[in-house]
Amino acid sequence: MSFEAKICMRSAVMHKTIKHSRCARFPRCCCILASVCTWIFAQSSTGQTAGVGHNANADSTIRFRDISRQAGLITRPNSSTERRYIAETMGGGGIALLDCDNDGMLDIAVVNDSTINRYLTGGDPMVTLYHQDGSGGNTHFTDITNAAGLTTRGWGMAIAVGDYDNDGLPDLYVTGYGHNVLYHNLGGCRFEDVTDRAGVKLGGFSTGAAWADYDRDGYVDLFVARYVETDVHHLPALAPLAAATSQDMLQVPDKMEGETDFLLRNRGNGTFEDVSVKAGVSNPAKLHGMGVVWGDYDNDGWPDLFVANDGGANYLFHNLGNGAFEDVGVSTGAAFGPNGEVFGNMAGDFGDYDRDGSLDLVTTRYSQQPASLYHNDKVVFTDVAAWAGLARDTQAPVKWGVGFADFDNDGWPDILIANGNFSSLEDSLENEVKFREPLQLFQNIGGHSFVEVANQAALNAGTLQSRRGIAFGDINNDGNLDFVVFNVDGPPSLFLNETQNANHRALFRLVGSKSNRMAIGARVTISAGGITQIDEVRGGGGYNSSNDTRLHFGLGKEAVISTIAVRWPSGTRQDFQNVAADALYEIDEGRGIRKLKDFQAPSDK
Amino acid sequence: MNSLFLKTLCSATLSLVTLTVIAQSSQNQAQQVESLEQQVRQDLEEQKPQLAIPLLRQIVALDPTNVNAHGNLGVLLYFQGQFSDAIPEMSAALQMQPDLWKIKALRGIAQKRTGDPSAAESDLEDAFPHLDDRKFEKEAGLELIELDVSFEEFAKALTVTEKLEESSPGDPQILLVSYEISAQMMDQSVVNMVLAAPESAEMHMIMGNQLARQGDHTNAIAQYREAIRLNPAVPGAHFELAEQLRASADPALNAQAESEFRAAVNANQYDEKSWRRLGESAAEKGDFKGAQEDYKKALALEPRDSDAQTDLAIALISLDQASAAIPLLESAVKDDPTNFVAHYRLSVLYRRAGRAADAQHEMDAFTHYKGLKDKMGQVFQQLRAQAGPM
Repeated sequence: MSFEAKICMRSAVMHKTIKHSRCARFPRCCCILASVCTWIFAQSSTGQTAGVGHNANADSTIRFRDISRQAGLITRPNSSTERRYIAETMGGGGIALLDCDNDGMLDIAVVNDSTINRYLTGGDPMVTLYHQDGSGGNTHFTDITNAAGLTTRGWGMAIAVGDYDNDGLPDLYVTGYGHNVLYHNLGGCRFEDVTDRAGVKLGGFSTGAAWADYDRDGYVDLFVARYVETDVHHLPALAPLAAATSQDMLQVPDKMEGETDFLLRNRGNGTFEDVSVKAGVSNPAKLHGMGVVWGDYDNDGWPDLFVANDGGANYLFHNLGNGAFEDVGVSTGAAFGPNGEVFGNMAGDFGDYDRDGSLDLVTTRYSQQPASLYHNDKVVFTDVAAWAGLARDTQAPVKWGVGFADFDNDGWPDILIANGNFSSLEDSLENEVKFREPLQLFQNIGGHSFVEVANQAALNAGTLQSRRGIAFGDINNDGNLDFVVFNVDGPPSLFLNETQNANHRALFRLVGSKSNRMAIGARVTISAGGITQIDEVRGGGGYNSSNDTRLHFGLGKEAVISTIAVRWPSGTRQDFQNVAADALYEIDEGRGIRKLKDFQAPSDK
Repeated sequence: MNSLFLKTLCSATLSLVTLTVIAQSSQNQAQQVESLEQQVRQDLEEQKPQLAIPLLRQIVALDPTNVNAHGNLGVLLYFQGQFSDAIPEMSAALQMQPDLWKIKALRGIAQKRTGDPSAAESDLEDAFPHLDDRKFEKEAGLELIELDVSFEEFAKALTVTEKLEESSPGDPQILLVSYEISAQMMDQSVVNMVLAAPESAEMHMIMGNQLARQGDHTNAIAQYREAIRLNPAVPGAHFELAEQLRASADPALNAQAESEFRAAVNANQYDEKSWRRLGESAAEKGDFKGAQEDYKKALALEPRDSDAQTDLAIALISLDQASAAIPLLESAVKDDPTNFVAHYRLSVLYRRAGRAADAQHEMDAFTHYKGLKDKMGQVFQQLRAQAGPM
């Protein structure tokens, strides 16, 4: 057999969903053609669908309640589920949890996507802001978008929360198709569009964005990924809807020209400088950038950057500490799937799921491509999704938002994934995953395996949605991590964590002084009962979203945290001992730690 | 007596004179031939074969035993398209010197052109193994293949094709011919089967294969099931059925694949491919121990199966036995350098072990072969798109 033919046969090893017919007794060339043809057929079919598995874990205490409607999350975006063009199918998705007025209660900012027609006539406000205003234990939000001044119109994609001017108020950067917008927080949840003044409007099709102080000069900088070149004024002709198949129902990005990415250095005076090329992160190959997340994966004190690229190798930019980065995605294994596959990557999150002191990475991607859980082996990232129990159940759906979060406070970060197909039009096609797909919650079992427990946790009890970005945070300040999730063509969902067990927990709000005010990039290491956990404050991540910047740690049975070590971006280090669990603390750089609030003692009753 | 003496004297004298004349004639003839040959050489150098031809005719008329002249004349006539005239000249040369292989091959082609395919095949078959000029070997070989195919002697045609592929690997013309022969052989087999055993299990196997190649998994499954119903012991049926079940878009059918692979190994414990597939099924379920056992069985049957070595290595990595995986992957890439999955996996393990240079080498190999595969995939995608729905 010629070696070219053998190359075709490789597909069968790479993709478990790729099937080929072996014709042992037929002439070799027909065998080759059969193999490749079947491989090609398998590319366009869903092949073996593992489906969304629903395992049960009798020990799981994780429980959620969807309080979206009663909490007042009712603003419906001017969107549509019947999507065909790339700007539509990939539009929107971002959601953020932030305290826009520093009243101690998290607010919700959700990006709005649009439709072609609406965009061509001016678009819609790119973000909706819900201010939390409940009382007496009642969690409630009110849409204050207009009053907040968040009126810039366009077609939103992602949202990154960061205090770029260190005034103690979280600012918002919203990316989108055509242009992005930087909203400066004026206080009291009022914002001003300072995009042009800051020089961060960009253009094209911006996607994921995240803040980090990459040069550790005390001011957070901004990385923005971009996707494909597309012009909604000149849309390609697609097959008539009635005759469309899964091959031509949607405009696909596969052969579309990509766009470069941006690293915008904060000058500290309200303006930004484009250092993309100088820093080596401009993406000259024009891969299709999606979700981005910063994390110090090699523990050298400098924030590194992961960029998920759709249909291309992911970037893992190692910060060299001199203003430049080196892409080590390929050499570390973070660029590809476990067998070198190039996947349709959507997003990623850093987290130390096995508590070995190094940040691991979880990524989401397209349908029929399993999520990857890259274990940080300190030299390489090894994809352990298959044997950790993640690969099989994540094979089928189109996966978007993802993040590590310890929902049951046992000290082991769990993984939440938001799913949904690109367009409701695909529901009519045979063998396509559905538009509305279940959420998936993978409970971390001792840092070595995961069990899918979303149904058990009541995450899919209501009407299914087509979901995108997720933001985690303690919304009702009870010490448990809740989350909000973006729903296509609908208000976001708010899932309150009502897990009841005897596990302790703690929440930390960090305030920088020499470091950037929001403490983005600060690394916290806690030890309790002989176990050590790490986490970092981030200004954006997952799929186009931003979490509550307060760091949450589940502590299991430990009621006292033996040590807390904080490594600030400025280089300052603070250590604290014997801190009681079950409380919200504020750690001020250089000053100390103070308790803000006690949580109710944990109870499994 | 005097008249007898005179007669004898006259005869002797006449003979002597004749001999002298003959000797003088021979000398003259040789000179003439040499002179003509010189002129022929000149004409050929000046690219004037049409002038050389009559000269060569003169030479062979003067010297019928002149092998070169016959041969050259035959060749020139051949390239002038005068095949009927070329053949006797070439035959004359070959009569005197049978190992003029190029001449023989050309004669064969000329015979093909003039409607004597049997003689053509015979000449080309004789000559082909001795041709050492690559270009001419290809030309003669392709002619011979055509003849073999016309006589439906596909096996012979394949043998010639294989020799051409060896000499000129990657030649698209030869690859096309190879493809066409195989296609015709396949068609012939189908016809033979239809004539010999239209209702047999084997016929349904063939139909299943045809449908599978078209991506019609549903009907292929039906055919294989029918084959098994008719003859549960028909070789390969369970495996082929399992492959189609696995390829189906219906999850319910996918779930049946494993039991068919199991049936395949129950019917034939030496079915290496089915053991491999069982290993894959186990791995997909997260049962890496079970996968390891199945892959080991496959490897025991075909120790040099690069894919099986890779699969076992991956199972070992999943069982946290990376050190045991490395030698397997090293063997896999040795047995099949195009196995880019093995290259990738090996690269990651090398890097983890601190062998940066080895890791880079493997990554480079991965990139190279993966690139080739992607390119091929694009080509076939285009072919499929042009072919339209099947």
